[in-house]
Amino acid sequence: MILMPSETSLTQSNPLILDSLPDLSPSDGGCPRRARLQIDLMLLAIEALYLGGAEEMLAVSKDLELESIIKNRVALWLMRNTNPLRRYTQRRSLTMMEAKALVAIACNMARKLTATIRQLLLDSQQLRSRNIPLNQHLPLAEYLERFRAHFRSRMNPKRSLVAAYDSDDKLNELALNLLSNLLFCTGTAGMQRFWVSLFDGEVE
Amino acid sequence: MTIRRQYSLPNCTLVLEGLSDGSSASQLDTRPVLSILMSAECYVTGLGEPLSGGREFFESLVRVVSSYAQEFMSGVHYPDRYGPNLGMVQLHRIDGNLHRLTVLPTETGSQTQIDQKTELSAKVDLTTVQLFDLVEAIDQFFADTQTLPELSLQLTPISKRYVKSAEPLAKRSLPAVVGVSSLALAAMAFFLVPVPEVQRPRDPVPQPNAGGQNLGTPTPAGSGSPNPNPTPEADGLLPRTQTPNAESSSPTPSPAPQSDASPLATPQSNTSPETTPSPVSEGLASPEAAAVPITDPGEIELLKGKLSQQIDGVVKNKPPVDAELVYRVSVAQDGAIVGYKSENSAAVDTSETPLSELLYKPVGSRPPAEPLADFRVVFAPDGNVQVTPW
Repeated sequence: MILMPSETSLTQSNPLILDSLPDLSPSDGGCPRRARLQIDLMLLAIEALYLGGAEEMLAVSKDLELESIIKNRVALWLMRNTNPLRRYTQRRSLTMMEAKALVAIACNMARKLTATIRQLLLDSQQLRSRNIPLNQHLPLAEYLERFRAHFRSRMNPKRSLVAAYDSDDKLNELALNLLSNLLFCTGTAGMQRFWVSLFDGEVE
Repeated sequence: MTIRRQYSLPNCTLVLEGLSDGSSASQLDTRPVLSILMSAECYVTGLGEPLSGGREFFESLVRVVSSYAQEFMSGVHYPDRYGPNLGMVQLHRIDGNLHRLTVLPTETGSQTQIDQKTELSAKVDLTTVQLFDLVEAIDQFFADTQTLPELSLQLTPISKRYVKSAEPLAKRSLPAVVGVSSLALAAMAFFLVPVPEVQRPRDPVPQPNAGGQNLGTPTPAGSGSPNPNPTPEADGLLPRTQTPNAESSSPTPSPAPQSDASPLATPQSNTSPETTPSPVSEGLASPEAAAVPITDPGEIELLKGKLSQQIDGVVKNKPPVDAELVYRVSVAQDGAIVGYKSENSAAVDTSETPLSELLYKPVGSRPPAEPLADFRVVFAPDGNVQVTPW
């Protein structure tokens, strides 16, 4: 008897979608610095995968009934700018609900892009094993180029962490790491795994 | 009836076989609960034989893979985040894209028919996509409430206390190393800078000693030799302590005959003619002993002129002497009068002699055996001074 477990779908409009994410409160109540950084970078990688990704984020937020948290484009922009590396970084932290909403959006979009993400990762693996430069592969080169452009235009080059990514190779590596992380977000428990990983080593 | 559950993904297939204990599921249930695991097999592409084992193997696999997935996403390394690892299955990061899955053989203690299969340890390097498929197969198993319901996905972030940064040790220790080495460099640089010699604080302490020394050799008292470290105390103290000492005619031979301020030579020559002025006798003795006399006539002539000039400069302001005074005078090459000796009784008896002012005062050190020329100096009562080579 072979039975496939039914997949839980995140695309269902579920106002309680955020309930699947546990409340993990670090010491100061707000979202940890690394979490804010990582969420924004993951969204940045999605934008690099997907032209019009920023608009899509608002649409997904509507689909997931997260409008009460992400009211409009500016609100989304302000939330993403809690990333400390941004040029226009916000001083305020990210609330738990806002962080959950962004994680839900990222995982939802990642799941839609599962095929693309898998293919890019498999291709990059093959290119590396044959010692072929990554930019020889058109879809991969496009993703990497867009990611580099997004990163450079939005991150503050005066921050030492940003300055460390001073070469194309380093940014490519970051982009591929984010792609791997996005792949893990596409899984059955991807959203929970992503959410919990943001707080690793941050809670009491 | 054996229940078989399979979770298939492109690179990984997880197959569980077991039995239902029949306690909870009704017979009408089309999908009974698998509650007793008999065997677990994990097919991974690139690995010929499946990884297989019993419950122990499966629990270890599930725990390790789940933990490693969290570590992969957060970058925080903490191997025992879900309890102590049973040790059968291990996952290690080789690089960003390769992850080594190792299955160790079971210990001989738990020998069951199923466990024997895993005695062949397996090792496989998974790419990130393969790792994800393994994680996803396990997550699907967790999501399946009809298979081993007591095993469920438990994700908790690890505490701050257990965080070992994902950064390598070298990177973390870099700031400390830079700090320590710069401190060491600074210390070395300061070590090379010479220690400034602090001489000031020494002055007040040995001041009484210096006064004591001056009792014997009252050189600084005179106007001719300036005190190198004048202090108010010394100025007030030294003349008082010295003067009585000098007049008490201490027989201590003074290497430096006194200047006009303290006419030391005079009382000495008065009171004890025999021991008289040791400098004089020394000045004369030394040329005989060690110093070579100056024999060059031209040089002697030159020195004679110098000596006459010196004596004339002193004598002309003085009253003429009562009787003829004869001295033997030793002159160094530069014309300095280094010693003299009375040669007749009148000279011995005379309390004042113009030569005493002309005597060379040793501020530096003269060479011990420098060549000397001896002259006979005669002060006549009529005021004439006659200088002739000895």
